[in-house]
Amino acid sequence: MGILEEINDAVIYGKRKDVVAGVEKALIEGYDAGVILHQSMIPAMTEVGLRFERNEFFVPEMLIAARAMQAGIDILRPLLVEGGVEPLGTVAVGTVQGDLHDIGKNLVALMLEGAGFEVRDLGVNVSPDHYVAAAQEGVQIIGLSALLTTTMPAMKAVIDALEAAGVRGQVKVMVGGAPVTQTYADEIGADGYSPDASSATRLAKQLLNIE
Amino acid sequence: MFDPVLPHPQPDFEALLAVLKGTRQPERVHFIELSMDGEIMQALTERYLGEDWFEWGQGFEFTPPEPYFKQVVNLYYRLGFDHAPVWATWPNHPRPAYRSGENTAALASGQRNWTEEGSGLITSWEDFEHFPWDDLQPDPRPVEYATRYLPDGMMLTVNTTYFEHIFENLLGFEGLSYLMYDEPELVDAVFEHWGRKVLAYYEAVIGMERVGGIFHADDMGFKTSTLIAPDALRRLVLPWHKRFAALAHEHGKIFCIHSDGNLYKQGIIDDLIDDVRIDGFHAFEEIIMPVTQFNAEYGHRVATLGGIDMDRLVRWPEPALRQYIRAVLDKNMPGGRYALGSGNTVANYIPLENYLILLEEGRRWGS
Ligand code: B12
Repeated sequence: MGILEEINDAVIYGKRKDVVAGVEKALIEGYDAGVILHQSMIPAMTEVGLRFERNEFFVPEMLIAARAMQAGIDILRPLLVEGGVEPLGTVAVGTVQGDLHDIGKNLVALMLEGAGFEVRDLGVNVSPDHYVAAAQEGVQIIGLSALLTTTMPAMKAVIDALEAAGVRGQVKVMVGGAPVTQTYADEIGADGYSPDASSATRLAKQLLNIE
Repeated sequence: MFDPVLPHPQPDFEALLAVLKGTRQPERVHFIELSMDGEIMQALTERYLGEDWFEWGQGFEFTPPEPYFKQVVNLYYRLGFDHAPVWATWPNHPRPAYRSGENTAALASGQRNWTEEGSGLITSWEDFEHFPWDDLQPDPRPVEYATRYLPDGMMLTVNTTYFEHIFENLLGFEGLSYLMYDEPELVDAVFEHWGRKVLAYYEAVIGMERVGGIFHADDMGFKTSTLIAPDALRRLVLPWHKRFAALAHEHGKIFCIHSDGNLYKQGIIDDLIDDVRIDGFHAFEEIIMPVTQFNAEYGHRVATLGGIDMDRLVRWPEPALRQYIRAVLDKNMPGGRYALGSGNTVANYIPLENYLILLEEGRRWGS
């Protein structure tokens, strides 16, 4: 197995130490940081996402894979910056106001990062003006998460606030979470919905016309 | 105006049991709930029973005083239930970390508490060893208190949480996820220790005369799958469910289970029915498994409990909601093995008038 495959495997199975060792070895062997990221680690996270969608991997497996990838990225980051490797786009994700459920939004953030997006995690209980501020600062996509029907209306409030601030046209809005559906997304005028963290990455790419 | 309070309730737990087991055709719609939020019980009691409500605002680490159970039993009775649920309390249990936020519910009293999903009370062997396991003893008082006020014909259903307690409070969902790979023995030890506590609780109360069965609550799934791998559930969780069920059955009582989420794709539902031997299954969402579809597919093997979708209960306008509930009853009532109720719990953000619609449709069906 070549070193890129080794790293790929280690990310898929969440083996943090093996990822670190592999990345260090690959760098010594002369691999470019961007190549390690794009040809080994990102495909690994895509695979993790697909297995999650096929119900072969579950939340724990996704979390440890993302943690392993993160350990590799920590080593690569300065080199990626130096090499001018650009992210696919920038996404701000947050759980809407009144809702403090973290893990769904976290998985979406991890998978987007794992797909090569720059992700700004706005946290939980995020008020509409924080999303507006992110839009004004130039993020391309806003991702909204909610766990309960009682907090879903806050999604509409974000879209309204983006309109009111005159930035709705600048950003794409995607929504998700336990009670959220495509119908609801259409109803509130969101640009997209997806049922899980893996398909959220495809949705984000679609929204930015990537690939 | 519909009055949800019955002038002469006639609870009949035996009839409910026979209907759920399929040995008797239902003569009316029986209701079932795992739980109602305090705000809902308070509003119903004050507005429709014209009685004061004494709110018990503490967590599961404290046992409410007797008057609390009196009013809970009274409310379920007057609303026409055959059972009243009694949740276990765990005095001396360390308080888990919560995060509080604005409560967006119509009947909100105070802030909404959210579980700390990042980590729980136990993050290491050291935490495990310092955890006051020995101080956690079954507390039969809730059942004793409730029993004192239980009208003839009514029975109590008892419950607590096992897996849910672990991922919610003891380890946290992310904590559990990482520890499953970083410290699997610690995870095993926590499941074993908490399992023994839950079993001890059920052992302490199942023989009590007015306990009709266990209505165990354990979310095992979410929107698209099980929360952890099905094989992990099969190893860590289901063997305990099987013990709880066997205990209930030894005492001639029923064992029903509440679990949210998608347990269908990987066949966990079949394990529950065939191996754990549950008598009834509770918790449905239309976007995962409509209750009517469940009843069509599994209804000959297990009773179908509740299932009126939470999102619809909250958001649907009256005519559509009524039609939906009627359609569920029309499909699920014939042949029995069905009891009407919410798809999860009567949460405080369900508009009260919508919950009344559920009760009214249930009362009116077939007449
Ligand atoms: C675990 C759980 C709990 C836990 C923890 C909740 C907490 N954090 O505080 C406990 C047991 C405490 C709980 C309590 C309650 N719960 Co609860 N709970 C769940 C359960 C089983 C799983 C949620 C979860 O952790 N999922 C795991 C994560 C990883 O998944 P996720 O959040 O869905 O995220 C994924 C996708 O949705 C998507 N996604 C998420 N965000 C985004 C964003 C974008 C942009 C995109 C594209 C995608 C995306 O990607 C993620 C990964 O694939 C759900 C059932 C369900 N269907 O999900 C019920 C559920 C959410 N609960 C429900 C209810 C009613 C309650 C209570 C109100 C019950 C009560 N009366 O007390 C309380 C309220 C809690 C509170 N904080 O006030 C209902 C809500 C119904 C509704 N429509 O409003 C549900 C849907 C169950 C049901 N049968 O209907 N709950």
